[in-house]
Amino acid sequence: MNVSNKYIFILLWIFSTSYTFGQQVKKAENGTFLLKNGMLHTVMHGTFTGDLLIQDGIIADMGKTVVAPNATVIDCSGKHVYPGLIDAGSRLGLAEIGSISLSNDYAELGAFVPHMRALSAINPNSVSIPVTRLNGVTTVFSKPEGGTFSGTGAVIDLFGYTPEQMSCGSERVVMQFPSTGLRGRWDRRKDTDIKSDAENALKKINEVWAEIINYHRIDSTATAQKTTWNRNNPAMDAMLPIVRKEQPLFIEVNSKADIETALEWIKSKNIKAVLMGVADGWRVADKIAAAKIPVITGPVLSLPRRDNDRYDAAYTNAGQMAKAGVKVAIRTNNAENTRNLPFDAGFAAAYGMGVEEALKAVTINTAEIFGIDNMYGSLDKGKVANVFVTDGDPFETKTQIEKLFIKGWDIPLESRQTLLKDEFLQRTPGLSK
Amino acid sequence: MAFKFQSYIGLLFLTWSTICVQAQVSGDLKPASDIYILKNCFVVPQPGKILSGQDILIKNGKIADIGSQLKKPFDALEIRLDSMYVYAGFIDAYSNTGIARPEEKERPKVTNTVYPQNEEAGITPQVRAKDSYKSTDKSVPEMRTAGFTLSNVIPRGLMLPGSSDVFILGDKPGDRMLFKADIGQNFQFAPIRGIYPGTVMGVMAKFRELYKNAEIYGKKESLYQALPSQYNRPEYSRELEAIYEVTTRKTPLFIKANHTKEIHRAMKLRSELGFNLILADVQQGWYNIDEIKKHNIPVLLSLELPAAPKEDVKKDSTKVADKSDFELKKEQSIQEYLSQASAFEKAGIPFGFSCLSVKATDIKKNIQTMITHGLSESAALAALTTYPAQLLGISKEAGTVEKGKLANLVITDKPYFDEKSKIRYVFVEGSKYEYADRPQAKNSGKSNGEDPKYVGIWSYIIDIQGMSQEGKVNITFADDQYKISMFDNTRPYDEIFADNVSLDGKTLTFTSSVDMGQPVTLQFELNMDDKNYSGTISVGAFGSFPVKGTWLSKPNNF
Amino acid sequence: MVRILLIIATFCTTGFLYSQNILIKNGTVLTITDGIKENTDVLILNGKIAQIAKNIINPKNTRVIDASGLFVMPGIIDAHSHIALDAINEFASPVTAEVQVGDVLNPFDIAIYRALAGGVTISHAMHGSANAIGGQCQTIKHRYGVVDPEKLKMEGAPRTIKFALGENPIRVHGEGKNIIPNTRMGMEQTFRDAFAEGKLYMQRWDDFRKGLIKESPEYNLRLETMADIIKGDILIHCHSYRADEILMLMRVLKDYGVKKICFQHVNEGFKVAPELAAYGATASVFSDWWAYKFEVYYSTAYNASILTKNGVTTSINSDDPELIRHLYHEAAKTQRYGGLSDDEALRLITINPAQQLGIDHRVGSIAIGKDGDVVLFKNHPLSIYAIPQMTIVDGVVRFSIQEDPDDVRLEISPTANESSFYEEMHHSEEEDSCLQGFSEWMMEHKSK
Repeated sequence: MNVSNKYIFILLWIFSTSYTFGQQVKKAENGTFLLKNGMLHTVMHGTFTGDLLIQDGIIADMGKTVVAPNATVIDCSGKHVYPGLIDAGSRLGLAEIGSISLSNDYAELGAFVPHMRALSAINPNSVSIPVTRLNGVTTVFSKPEGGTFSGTGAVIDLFGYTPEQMSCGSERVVMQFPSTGLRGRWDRRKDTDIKSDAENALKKINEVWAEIINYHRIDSTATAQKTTWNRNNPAMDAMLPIVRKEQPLFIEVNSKADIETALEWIKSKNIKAVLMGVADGWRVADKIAAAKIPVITGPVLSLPRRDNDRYDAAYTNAGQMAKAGVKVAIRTNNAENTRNLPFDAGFAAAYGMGVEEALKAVTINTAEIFGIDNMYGSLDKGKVANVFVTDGDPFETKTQIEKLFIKGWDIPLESRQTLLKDEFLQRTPGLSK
Repeated sequence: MAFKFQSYIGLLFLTWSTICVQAQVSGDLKPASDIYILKNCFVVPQPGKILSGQDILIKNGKIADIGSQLKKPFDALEIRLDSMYVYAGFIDAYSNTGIARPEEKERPKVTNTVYPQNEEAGITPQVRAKDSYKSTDKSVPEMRTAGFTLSNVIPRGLMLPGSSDVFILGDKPGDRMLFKADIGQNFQFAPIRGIYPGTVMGVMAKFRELYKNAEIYGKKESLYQALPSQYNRPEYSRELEAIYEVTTRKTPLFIKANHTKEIHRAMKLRSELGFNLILADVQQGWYNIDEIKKHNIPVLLSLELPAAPKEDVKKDSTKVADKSDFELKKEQSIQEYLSQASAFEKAGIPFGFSCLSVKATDIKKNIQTMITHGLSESAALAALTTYPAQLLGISKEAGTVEKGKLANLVITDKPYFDEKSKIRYVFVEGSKYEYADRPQAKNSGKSNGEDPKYVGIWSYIIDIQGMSQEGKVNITFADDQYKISMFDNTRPYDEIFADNVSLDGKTLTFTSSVDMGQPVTLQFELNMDDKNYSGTISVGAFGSFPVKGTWLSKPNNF
Repeated sequence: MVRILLIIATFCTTGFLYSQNILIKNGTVLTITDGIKENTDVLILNGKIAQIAKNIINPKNTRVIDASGLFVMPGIIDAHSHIALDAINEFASPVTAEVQVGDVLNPFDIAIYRALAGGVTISHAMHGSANAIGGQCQTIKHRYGVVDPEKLKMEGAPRTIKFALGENPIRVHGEGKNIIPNTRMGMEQTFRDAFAEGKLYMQRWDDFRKGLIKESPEYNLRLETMADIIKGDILIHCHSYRADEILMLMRVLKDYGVKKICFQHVNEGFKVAPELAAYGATASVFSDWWAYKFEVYYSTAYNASILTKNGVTTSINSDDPELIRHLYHEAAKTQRYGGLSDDEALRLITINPAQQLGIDHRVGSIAIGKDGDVVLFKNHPLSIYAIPQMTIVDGVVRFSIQEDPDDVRLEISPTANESSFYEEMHHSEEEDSCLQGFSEWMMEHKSK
């Protein structure tokens, strides 16, 4: 068997197994649930002991005392109730097994492919999805990251069997800003080459941008004149909401120099934008704040990007930007371990951000950045019932999640990882003779 | 007084004559004699000593005599060196001089990368430098121009490139220039990617194994030699045979160790295996000073240095404060590299220099930098001469200026360690190589687009208080610049070159500076006419003297 | 300039100034092996823990550190790292028992300092997992500031060696070079072959030394090392994932009477926990890494808990210069996934890895006579809000959050560039760090 045959064989096996076992977890239950007497961490209106009613997929009521005769009552005395955590940047559902490229769908070919829709490629049955939600992460922005205009990411709830069931109604175009950073220790390009590479890339982007503007003008004229315009240019179409300032462009940019260039570029293009990554954000926090551009940063648990940076540069980055007045959301930028979002938030909290602000950075700030704060990001009447119940601070490592609702569905606290635990904690048969 | 001054002026011209152009005077033409007498020079016979008013007689490639007022043999060529400095020819203790870099070509396919042939794995201790040394390689004249007359030549290769030989850096064919063979084995932390050993740790493991097997090989060999009937013939291994010499300490092992970590690794192998170690091409050795001193390890410091930090021209204090911590730390780090030699000297560790990594043209500048960072001139000179001579076992023949030693000499116009000094002659085993300045473009007059005037050979007569000195001036024009040379009629081979040539109307000016204990500038100001000229020479504080001359012929182009 | 001096002061002189004598006052001491002691002092003299008691009187020449409100725990030990190394994988052969990463230590690696800032005082610098039998590893103490690589080595720590199973060696040798092993079957035979050769080699030399044969055998450092493994002089640490191959290696080792084996990563260790416990094998695992390749797809973050509850001595390791900075947090994950007690969780990063490295008599707990390797934490180390305040190695303060300078590089390249910024790479794309350098190496190799 030659190498490529072998790979194909492995892949077939993987796909067949994942279809065979599929989602091994128990079915979720829909219904009306009354969370009684829990400590409600609303995010927006403080924390108080009270009741929360889940009905028809939303938080139907909330208060000191809520009466709902038909509801299944869940006693939350001594427990804590939180809105589902939102990861502002992940590859969840787009990546299954790291080293097997054919199981990864987050990087399409081509520099200008903003029309590549993550929502279509996200595997609702990814084994990582139940693993993730068991830590209270109910919603993620799953995003592509190839090329320059990488595609359109989607905010999804971590429950559902079709894109429609999972979608939170927010899809956003992602851009990788030309980088003057090193690609790794092995990157031996000269400084001047790195700089000119980035400059050329930006030049290219500006050329493309000019075309987008042309396209937007023709399209606007056609619309104004109510003429039909024969066209097939989905890449350009995907950019229209950006140039029309209907949506922000989500720009991955990390080093100080690149952030500064990006801020100027955003200004020159007169668009709305969100910066992602922003590892050097603390170096230019004031500028970002002044530009009133929100930031998605993380993972917090990551190495400093410069040899001469403080060891805790990544831990403190989110906090420093928040203190400077930047709206900060936290992401894991992970796939299978998107479940670590609460810990990223916890580290940010410990290293200067504070618990309250860190909680916002994984709930309401994220919802606002994605334009879904009317439905997500806090415990509020009328919002989507993404709610979880814990025995303590959800950032604390040892805290247990005891109840989980997504879109009002009572989600079983199971994943393949818990099922393996159930099977093997006390294996039978044990030691064979 | 008048007489004294007159001779001074003559001296001026002689000195001056060596300042300018051209790579090497002794070209294809065979000299009239290979016996030289060098007259009236300062001799630095060994580091820390200086003798004035010395003459040196060179005969049969050796220093035949040295002393004041030596009698000139009839068949000797006299070179007046008045006020020049004579040093022992420099000895490069470690480099690939004379061994051409192999052409970049596709490496032959290695069929078994797990168990490659020794040669494929860079294990070639049986190779000798003399098998590939070529005196025609451009590195030889480059090194010679920098004052080097002997080089310990390392074969090019990887982990165990072979044994090194000392060559005389003359231009006779390679074999004839071999001075001493089998100086030492060589080891480099040089893995080959994709072939075992493919990492430094693999190289070290492989070396340990080879070393032990070489010991076994030697033992087996001697057992067999003693009792051939009782033992099996050990299978011959040219590699183990070569390494065996290292295990018996008959030959030392040079280990190329730029980085402190490599130095440490070399020391570690030494303490495990017990060979005689020589640390070579050391660039970051200050960290290891204590260990090196404790174990008395010979060291060859690299003459390669990182570029010194750019000094602010204004040196104003606010500028310094503006520098980031990053820049300050980097500068501090660079200082450590530049101060390495000084640190070794302060620690009382003698050392030689390695030229492996340095460009020959950077050597003088880098030694200068080391000196400004605390290295003493005598330690620097020792590192260039006596230390390597002793290390390479050639101190009876080289390393000092002494009667009976090789006539390997470096002759400079000012003390070598003076920033402005220039090497004027290098003698390599009695063969003379003469050097002069390259003309600096800005120093030569421009024509302002006009046709060049006054080109040709002119006579000159300088009137020095009633006594005249006569010679010829050669004015040429090339590359949009005037070039001027002159010589005294009594010494036509000592051509003199001028700086700062400028032609303003009919006024031709040029200068030259010479060292007479203090720098003295000669300024020529000549009023030119088509067929004759007149003017003055100002000689610093000594005053000005009239000069005149006439046009003789078309110019000799340089 | 002041800052530079400060760095020098922190790294170089502290040890001399206080001559490795430190009195840590009034902390909550998590001894690991002797419970929790409130309001207790720990005295370190000459680099060793001399006394653990309340109200210790300050001896002369001793630096006093107020640990009121702080938690004091033994230095964290990472049984699997690749920091401070200039080379990780000798890719060129499936068996390279003879190479030693101890030869290529890099005391300038900034990762050492970053690990200290996460309370880690000892790590097991390992050869990579490219080969079935990789090189010998090195237990190092994080004495950041020393420049002599030898001084990083933990004196007297037993020799250890890296083995590797599964995808990595198969990928490098089978798929990469078309040589055995190309399957897990080939893996087994590669081990058996190396052990058999080692045993023969050992016998040949024994015979020679006893005078039974006249001719000296050839010296072979690889087989010499195999012989040392068979003699039990070298502890095996085996990169492993799948349950079947773990069982396979235990069978091979049993045949050669080799007892001491620590399985590294061992993501499917939980599936054969009873067998591991019965053999006396130990396990050093990731808290929650999985799905970065196929052989870790069927993993669970409950691995450490299941192993612990089945009696397998287990540690949590990093294998990564980032993860090594928060092993205390990684250990805490066993409380979320499996509900281990504080004591059980802390053992995973202290005494258990010490046992696996054969250094538990020296480190891994706060006990009299042990090395003065201590970490001070604000908040309980298993809390997400824990912040290491000070890390002491052999009684020398190597990290202190109060004195932490911005830039801690020890060796600065003359060509260093202030604007050098590294874009991050995904773990899942990099594989585990064990295979570091592989892609680069493959490119070199394929071009031949």
